[in-house]
Amino acid sequence: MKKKFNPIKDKSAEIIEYVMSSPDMPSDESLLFKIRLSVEEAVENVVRYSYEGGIGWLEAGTQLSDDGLELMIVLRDAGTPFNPLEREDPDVTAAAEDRDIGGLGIFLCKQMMDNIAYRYEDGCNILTMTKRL
Amino acid sequence: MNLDLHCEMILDEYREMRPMFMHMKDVVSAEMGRIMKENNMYVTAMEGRVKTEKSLTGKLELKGHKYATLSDITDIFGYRIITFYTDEVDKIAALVEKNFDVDWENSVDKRKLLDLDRFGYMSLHYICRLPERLCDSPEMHEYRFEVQMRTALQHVWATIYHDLGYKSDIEIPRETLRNMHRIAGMMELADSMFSRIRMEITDYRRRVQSLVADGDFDHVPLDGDTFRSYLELKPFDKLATKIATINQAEIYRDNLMPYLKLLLKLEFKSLGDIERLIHNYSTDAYQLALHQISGTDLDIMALSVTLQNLCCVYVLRNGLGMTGLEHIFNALGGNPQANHMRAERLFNQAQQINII
Amino acid sequence: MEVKINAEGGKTLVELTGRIDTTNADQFQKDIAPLMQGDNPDIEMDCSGMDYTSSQGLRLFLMLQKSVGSRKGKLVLKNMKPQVREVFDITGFSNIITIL
Repeated sequence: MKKKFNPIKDKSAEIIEYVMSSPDMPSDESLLFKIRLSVEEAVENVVRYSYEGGIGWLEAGTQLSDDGLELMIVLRDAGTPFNPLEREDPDVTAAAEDRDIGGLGIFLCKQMMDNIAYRYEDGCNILTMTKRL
Repeated sequence: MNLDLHCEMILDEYREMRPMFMHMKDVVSAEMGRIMKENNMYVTAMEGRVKTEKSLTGKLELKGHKYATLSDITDIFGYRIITFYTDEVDKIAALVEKNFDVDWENSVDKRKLLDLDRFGYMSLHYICRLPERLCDSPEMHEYRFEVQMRTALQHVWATIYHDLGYKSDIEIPRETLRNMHRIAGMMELADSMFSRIRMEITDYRRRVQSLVADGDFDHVPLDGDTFRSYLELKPFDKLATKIATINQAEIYRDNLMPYLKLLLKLEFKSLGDIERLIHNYSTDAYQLALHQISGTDLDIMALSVTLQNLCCVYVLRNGLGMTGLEHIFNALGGNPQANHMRAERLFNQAQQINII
Repeated sequence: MEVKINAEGGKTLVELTGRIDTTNADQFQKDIAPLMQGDNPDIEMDCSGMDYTSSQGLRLFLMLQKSVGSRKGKLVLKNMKPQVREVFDITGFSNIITIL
């Protein structure tokens, strides 16, 4: 399932709840905790920093692998290109410097999830986080 | 306090049942103690508490309508076990499952996830009933209680979270909540690091034990773990028995671990180095003891006299002289002045038996 | 052999004078019996007047040390004459008992 939120300013709680209430989520609380922490960090990052003034959209979705053993969370936005997995972004702007996700946030995401991938495609930031269930 | 009639009834029931809950607390505490002991579980803390009237009133004010009777409130009596390591939470959970009747349906009740003390990320909660064999009244089986299991770090987190004073997480400013979640994440990482460290140490000890058992001493670095394993082989017994024969003395097996510091100071790097110390210097060490003890009526000796004499003759044979001896004695403790005199005495004795 | 026991603050101060040997070891054991019990296990022994100890003496010091240790206390021997100190040294007992 996926859903496009527009605008996203001050909507992070709603977006996080949407992702977390997906039927794809596991019931194990320890897993849920790790996933929630990562989703919070990633969503918050887009909402705060991706668009100037917070005006823009974010598409959030979840998907289970065919065997049901892997959960994939995909966040897509059309904001400033930014790869949170790179320590130094060549396109660093003043706003991107503030991007918390480059620090503790991305560190926690990496630790909590099994895999995080970023790509820039058709003018969109696409962040894919995977967790084995 | 403005409780409605419904809540007042629950409160009345609580007042009536409180002694039963207190008794339940004693029974559960004793049972938990027994279970832990029987399974050799060693935890940071175990504690039980019966909710106070004040605290219950607070809970009823907030959401009294959710409960039909007192027995719907499952945390009137709560028991908490705080462990050192994450995996111990799972072991204890298994023991609780085995020894109490866990109410699975309510242990995962989503509605309760909104309660502050249910904030489930950081601890494991079981709603339990006492098994019949531990109940002396039907009430003891009827009323449920809650068992909370968490690591010490999770406990710190939860305690601080409570201390912030919010009644539920929907009241907390988003930024604060997010930061608390981040800390929870870091605690979780720290917990898994602690577990990993413990595993590494266990592995290391096992490896060392097998190297020591195989007599592969040169490949075993000298440290607290390896020296302890080495001592189990009783490497100094042969020399001790020989020295004891001088006066038909009894050997008192004192702890040789304090000598580790000295051995490291003398730059012994592996157990192989100690093996060579024993091999190369036992004769001198024995001669020294013979010179000191024969002619006295001393018929008791400490096992450590072997290592003491070995270190002394080692220092002397390697030309470190009286100063070397003084260093040894100072490393072992005592007052420097007495140690100086002791070194002087020993140095003279060593000269008499031509060790110098 | 003389044993003087004084309580001072949280500590028990003991003064030892004379020789401990075969002839008086039993008496010494009786004299130090009060030190083997009670909840005041920190003991400081002034040995400046002590001239000799035999193996029996060493055994009793060991016994006292164990008793004190089991009550989480500390036994310390002080001001020992060189010839007494030597007995502790050559038997390895100075590795077991704290001598200052």
